[in-house]
Amino acid sequence: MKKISLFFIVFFLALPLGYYSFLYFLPYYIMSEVARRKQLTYNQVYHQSLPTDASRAIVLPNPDFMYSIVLYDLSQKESLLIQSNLPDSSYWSVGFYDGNTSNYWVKNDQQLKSKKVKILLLLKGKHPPKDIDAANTEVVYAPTPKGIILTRLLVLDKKNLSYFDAIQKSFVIVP
Amino acid sequence: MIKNILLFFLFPLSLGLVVGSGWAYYQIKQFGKSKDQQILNGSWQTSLEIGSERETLFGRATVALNALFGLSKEEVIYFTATRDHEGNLIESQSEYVIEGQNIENARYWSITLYGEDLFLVPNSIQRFNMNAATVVFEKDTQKFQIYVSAQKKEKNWLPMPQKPQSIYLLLRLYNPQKSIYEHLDSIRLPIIKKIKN
Repeated sequence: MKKISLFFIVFFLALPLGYYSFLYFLPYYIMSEVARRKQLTYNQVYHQSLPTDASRAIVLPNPDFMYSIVLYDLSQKESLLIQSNLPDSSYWSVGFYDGNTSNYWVKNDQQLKSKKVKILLLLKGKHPPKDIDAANTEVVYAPTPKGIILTRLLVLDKKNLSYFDAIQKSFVIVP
Repeated sequence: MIKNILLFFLFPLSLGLVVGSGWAYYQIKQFGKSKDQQILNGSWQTSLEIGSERETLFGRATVALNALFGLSKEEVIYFTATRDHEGNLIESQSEYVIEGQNIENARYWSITLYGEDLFLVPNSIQRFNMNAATVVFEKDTQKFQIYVSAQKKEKNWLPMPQKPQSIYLLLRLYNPQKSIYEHLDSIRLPIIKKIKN
């Protein structure tokens, strides 16, 4: 009788453990799956053309957007400085996601100060270098060392792809 | 002794972990089908938790699996629909018309069609969505009708996949004004009507 009770006690204790562990670890697993499927290397920019039915790395792609993605690791680098030109009037945004896929920072073209944006990414608790061009650089603090930066560039005028392509390619990591 | 440990500790432990994980996965896969913690507006539903750091453990896992890299409500509102205005599942074998009017209180809107795997579906004209720039409005109005069908239509054709499956529609509203995200359950959204079985 005692053994049967032990069986059910262990089972019912393991149930919520399995439930909440799954919920906790799933986003981290999915983040690593995205990196694996897209063959991403840390701290490099990857540009993606407009999604089609052949785009199967990330669910629910928006076919009107050119995406660029950076898988970052701040344990390998003290900081990450990125820069990009912004389009004249089309929507553009940059979103920062931590290791569990939460979006902790986002700004779009209308919220940024100039048409050439610089963003310095630092781990929370670190301080930006004193020689930073503060007037023209946004500083973002990452809650976890690993995460993803994702830019979205809206392309409504598909006949003008070369223009949007140039804007997209201007998004780089400054060495 | 070892047999007892296996039978009365490791086995129920493993079983509990598997059943618990399975239950979590099942609940997450109900995304878009459950009315819990969702804001409803006709056929459409949304959640303000998408893309937010305030997400619960469950909300974050759900978004990671079903709507990875979503943004917060100030940036984008995501309305999803898997059912027509009568509450029936949207299926690729049927034909639908989406009736609506231009959504001017957002910087950009689009309605995108996804298959049951949440990816874009192949079609002969490589069209996967309609937006304010591509939709043809009725003459002298801001009203539109989008035809969702596997059969070609003269205008505003959003192609269904040939393969029979359930369909997932996603209405995105970028940079919505407060008048939108403060009235998500009552703003006027397009109506999805079945016109042919």
